[in-house]
Amino acid sequence: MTRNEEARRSVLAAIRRRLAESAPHDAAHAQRHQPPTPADRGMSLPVLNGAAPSTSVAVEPLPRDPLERFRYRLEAVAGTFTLVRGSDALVAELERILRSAGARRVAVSEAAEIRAVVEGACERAGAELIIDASPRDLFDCDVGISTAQWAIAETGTLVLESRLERHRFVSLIPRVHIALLRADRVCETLGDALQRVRAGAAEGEVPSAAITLITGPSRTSDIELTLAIGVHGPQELHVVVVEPGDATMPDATANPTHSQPDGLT
Amino acid sequence: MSSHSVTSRTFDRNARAALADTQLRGALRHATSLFGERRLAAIGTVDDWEGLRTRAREIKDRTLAQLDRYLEEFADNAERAGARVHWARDGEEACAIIGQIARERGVRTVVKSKSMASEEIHLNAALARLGIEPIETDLGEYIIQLAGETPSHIVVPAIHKTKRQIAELFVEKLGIPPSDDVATLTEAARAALRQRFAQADMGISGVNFGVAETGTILILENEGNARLTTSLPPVHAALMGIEKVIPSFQDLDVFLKLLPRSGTGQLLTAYQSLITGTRRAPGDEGPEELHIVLMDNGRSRVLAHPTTRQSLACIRCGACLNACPVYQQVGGHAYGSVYPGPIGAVISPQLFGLENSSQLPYASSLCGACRDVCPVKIDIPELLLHLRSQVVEGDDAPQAKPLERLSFAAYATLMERPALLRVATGVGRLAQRLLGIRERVGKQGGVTARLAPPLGAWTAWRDLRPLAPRSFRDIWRTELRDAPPPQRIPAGVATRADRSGGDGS
Ligand code: SF4
Repeated sequence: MTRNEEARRSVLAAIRRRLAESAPHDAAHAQRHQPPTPADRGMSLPVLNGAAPSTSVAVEPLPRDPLERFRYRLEAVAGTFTLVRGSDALVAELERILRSAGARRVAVSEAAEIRAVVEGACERAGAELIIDASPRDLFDCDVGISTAQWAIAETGTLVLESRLERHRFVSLIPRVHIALLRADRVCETLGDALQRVRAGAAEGEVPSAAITLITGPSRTSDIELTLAIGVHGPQELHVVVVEPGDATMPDATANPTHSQPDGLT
Repeated sequence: MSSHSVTSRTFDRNARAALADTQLRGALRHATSLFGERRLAAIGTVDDWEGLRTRAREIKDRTLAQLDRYLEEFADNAERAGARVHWARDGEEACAIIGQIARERGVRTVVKSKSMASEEIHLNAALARLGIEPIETDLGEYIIQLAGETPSHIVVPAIHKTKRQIAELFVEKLGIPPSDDVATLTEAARAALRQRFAQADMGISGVNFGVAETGTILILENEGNARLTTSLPPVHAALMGIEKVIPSFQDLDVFLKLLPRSGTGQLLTAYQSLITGTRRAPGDEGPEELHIVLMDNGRSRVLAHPTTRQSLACIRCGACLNACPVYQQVGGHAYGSVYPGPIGAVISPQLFGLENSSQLPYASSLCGACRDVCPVKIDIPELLLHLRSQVVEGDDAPQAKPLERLSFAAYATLMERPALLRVATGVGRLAQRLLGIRERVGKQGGVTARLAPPLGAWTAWRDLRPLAPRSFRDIWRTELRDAPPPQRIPAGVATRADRSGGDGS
């Protein structure tokens, strides 16, 4: 038996032994022990830093439209949001962001369907476009452009799946990350998004090797709990949302070579 | 505070030193109260926070009750997706496994993202002994590593340091011009670490959750260093405690709602990396090799009783540290363990042995604030009492504290016998009057403050209440029992509530 097999057996055996030891105590404990909630003890919660009932915190009125809610949450974490219609508008918006970022070198993900738009924008902004950049190249790029497969309204989050697009470094290493998102790809909740990602991999199949959830630019509060934006990842996150039904923004999530159609409305 | 002389055996001494450090206490007060406020605001965005906590705990309980099964499922699925799964009975074995992976591949530098499990087993020291340089890349951990210290909080490792101290450290170690601007300091760390990322041969991370159903590991973070650590170098090793497994992908929804809100008051941290195996095609990004090290290191032992088992439900959010009145005053280093605060006070003795940390179960006022904030409803006070009883019932306890045992036995005898109690308090009253000490008992610097040891150790910080001239029982019997019931206060009469602004009507 190899060391690893032996260790596996011994860890699992220890777990089984201890769980068996616990069995006689379990029923009694479950009966006797219901941890008291703060409310049971009639305590005023904020005093204890405790679990406040949600009613005690003023809940802000959130926009009803999921896309607007996504925008609200995204802007709250220092991301920017623009909505465009038509390929000309998209190119113009990309050019604007590239110029304001002072972009000289731009890396783009492998999502072929955005290549033409990005090429146009780079040309107009006078930036060099690097295709298939290696990680080393990326350290010298100012801007990375990718698509996002999903967004989450509840939290202002983007969901990127490696099965559909190689995104890891483009969305991480350059100072500025621009993500293109289809407006009809916004899920209401985190739970919905997880379900879609899971369903994307057919029954018995493994999910994408890397699924990345991105909520705002990179940040830290490690020094005196003071917020600093842009530590190891991007300092700026721009989400450009393309109106549905727009032929200029083909659907990266429904990439016919990889994924089956889904029931999104 | 030097981390070398501080152990969890000397909590009382460590705490006293920490209390004298006003800078430390200022930093702690600032940080813990800010965390408390942010947490409250964040949980207000969830409709049914209590229900969510209950669900999370149920998932954890269900998983722990069949931990063997879920671990096997996790390991099989992770391997199917291309990961190598290694089993480690203890910390030493885990260090050896990771060391061997590194050595076989000729690794010279390792980049690390924050992992409490790796702190627990002193992985950095083990790697250094093999001539491998480990570089912490989380900003807080990096600061701590440069300073040669240990983390003092499980979420914000450098919580005890002021920006002035960090600035001085960076001037000395990174050669930057003096600045106490947080953005400038962060930028300096980014620049220094980018070079290390580019050089590294291997990345080491922790794991927040492992999904049995898919073999996926999930890592939460804000900085992006964990994304770099897990995807840039050709080899990624993830160290995972066996308690981190959860059954299904969809369960992540519950934990991702609870963890960032409880930990940093965020709806989600900036990044979640869900990693399932290795790259699928040669041109894909990500490491060529993914090694997952499943580590026991004392965890399976804790399964043997439902009271102790709940400590394995912990998702390391740090909320109990921020809420704890003891942690708020003394900080993390006083606990002398990589796991400080309320959760540290219960898991350190369980993982590293009660004999090494017998004071930690007492480092609490049992106020229950930790239990109230815990997103997975761990009853830490119950656990503390459980451990205290183990300390007292330990083999050498009767000889160790004969006086304490005697006192409590005497107390119990008195309390069980009303007649005896009456006589004893009568004698006490008489003595109090005759000696004329009633006025001085219970005052600061009063009689009891100067009692000889060992009682003095108790009364130096607490005072004995003097006996009232007459007992309540006596007053009840002679005056109150047969008196007419008090009249209702007529409307219009000022009451105390009125005067203090209350609603007196
Ligand atoms: S015990 Fe609860 S509150 Fe404390 S770190 Fe663990 S999960 Fe968070």
